Amino acid sequence: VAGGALWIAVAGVLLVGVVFMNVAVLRLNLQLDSLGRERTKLRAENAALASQISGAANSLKIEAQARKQLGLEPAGADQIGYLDLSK
Amino acid sequence: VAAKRANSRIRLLLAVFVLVFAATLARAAWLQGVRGDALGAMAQSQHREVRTIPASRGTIYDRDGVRLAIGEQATTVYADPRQVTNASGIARAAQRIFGKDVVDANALYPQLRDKSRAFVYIARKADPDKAAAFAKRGFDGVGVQPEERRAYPQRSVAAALLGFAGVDNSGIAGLEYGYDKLLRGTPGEQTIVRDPFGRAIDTISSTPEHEGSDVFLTIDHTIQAQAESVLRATVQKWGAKSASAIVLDPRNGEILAMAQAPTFDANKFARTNPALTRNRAVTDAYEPGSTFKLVTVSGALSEGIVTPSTRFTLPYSLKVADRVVHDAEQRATETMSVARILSQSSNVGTITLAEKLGGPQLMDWMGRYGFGRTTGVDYPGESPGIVLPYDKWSGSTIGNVPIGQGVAVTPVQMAAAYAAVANGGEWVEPHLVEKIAGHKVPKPARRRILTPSVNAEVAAMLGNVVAEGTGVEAQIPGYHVAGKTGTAQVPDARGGYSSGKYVASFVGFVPASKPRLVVLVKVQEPSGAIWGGSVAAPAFRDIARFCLQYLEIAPDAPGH
Repeated sequence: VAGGALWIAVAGVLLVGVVFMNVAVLRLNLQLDSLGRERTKLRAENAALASQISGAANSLKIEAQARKQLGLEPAGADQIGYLDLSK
Repeated sequence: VAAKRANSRIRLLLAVFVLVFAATLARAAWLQGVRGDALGAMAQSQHREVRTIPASRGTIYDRDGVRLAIGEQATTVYADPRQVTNASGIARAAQRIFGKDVVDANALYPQLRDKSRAFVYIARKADPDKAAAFAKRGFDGVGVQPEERRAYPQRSVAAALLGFAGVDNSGIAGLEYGYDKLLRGTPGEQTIVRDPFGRAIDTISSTPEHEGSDVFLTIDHTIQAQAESVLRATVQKWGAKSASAIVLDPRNGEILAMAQAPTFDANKFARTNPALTRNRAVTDAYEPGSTFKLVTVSGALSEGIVTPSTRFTLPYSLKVADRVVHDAEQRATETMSVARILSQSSNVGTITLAEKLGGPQLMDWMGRYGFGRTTGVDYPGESPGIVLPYDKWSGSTIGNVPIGQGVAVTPVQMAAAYAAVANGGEWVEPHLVEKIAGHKVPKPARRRILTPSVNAEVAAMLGNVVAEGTGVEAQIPGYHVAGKTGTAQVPDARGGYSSGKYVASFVGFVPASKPRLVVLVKVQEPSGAIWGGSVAAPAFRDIARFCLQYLEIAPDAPGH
């Protein structure tokens, strides 16, 4: 009788283990799906930000802003000096 | 009696149980055996979903790592009209959320009502946030699909060069087309199981996506934008039809800019005149005029027929077969050296040299410079230009080909030819791509055209063109510049020349003592002035001056 009860207890523990494992797998799958969505969202945001950076790097735009907001002008050829370090 | 009645009731109950059990069994057998497959498939379709994982198209970068073409995430919203229960609600909500320029409710509504269709686009490649807001409304029969939308953040910069990718994300024109196989990735696929609440509870199978390769160009976006800006100003100033420019590093054949005006916003290519989207520097051939004299003069020098100081007595005009050729400006008969023939761009002098060189030799020199065949630039649709085979020459051909008439070249061919002189007489294959997916592309082809001594003579003569000849407008303070002007009439469809239509060009290199840049400018059909020296040379000067400063190239003629 004691041996039978032991087997029933072992079977019970195994069944509970199987249930817990399935629940854990389910949770991980849900987490995976959620992470997958987040990855897609972050990639989209990353691409959008990269696009904005590139748009902002347009040299003519930067030049126009520098002229307008800071009053800067490109240096003339006579305003640039070069040092020949080989001499 | 009571016991008998009880027995019969028990039998009746048993019969009822047997009947119910038999009916249940029969139903189970029907569902499992006969309709099992169909119902199984239906169940699967309700909780299984095959999801496509889009592969990102590779990014196109300039030489400094600035993104010129990039894939942005977008969401396509669609409907299955057979499952749609609220067509008017969907149409109204779609127009309100996506905007009328994307969704027209009046056009969408009848499509959603058409039960013979199984698929209707509501918004293709829409803003993901708007698509999510729309999906949240929970309309029956509506689905969403993530997709990638190609974007060109610098808008018009290098638009014709980059080309564009269409709605299905495949390259249609330009580098997007030429490198489509490498740029486009392979989409992945995932089969998932969803619970009744739509949550993914299991992944049955998964094939990962393979992203497209990134392509790094030799183009510098700052030089490209500056060249486009100069060309825009040139087109406006001279009322020209269009203009093209190439900036090239003669040492290695790297193209730093390939610009044209007018240009277009690559994000709006579908609404752009197709003529504007052609990269004319590679695809369009033109009669070069005097810039072609380089071939004749360097050929005559290389064959030992003349030296730069060999003098000829040259009349203003010369009869060649049935044709009379004259110089651009009226003058008396004068004695000119070969160097002066080039600096003054004398047609009569150049034809005199060509007659001494001979037709077959001239053809040979055209071939050495690469005219009549593609340069091999890594861009689709390159034109080889037009060179008449020697057996098709007429008696007057020797009177026009040596001065760049009756022959058609592309700007990239001409830039590569002058780059050869700038590179000590060695021709280098021009190219636009530096790296693909982090790997360097094979080294460009090289071949020697001129001996170093002849090359030095040619370079010095081209320096004279800018110092005291037709190209003085190309002078840049502090630098020695070498180059050649060109002015050519535009051929018409009847085999003659259009009256009043010209192509003005200038091609040169700087600093002439140690060339770092070759710049070609070609202006199509300017008005007011037509000469390469007055229309194209100033544009050359402006582009080259900017590049010298931007690339911090030290002057070779300080105080000059």
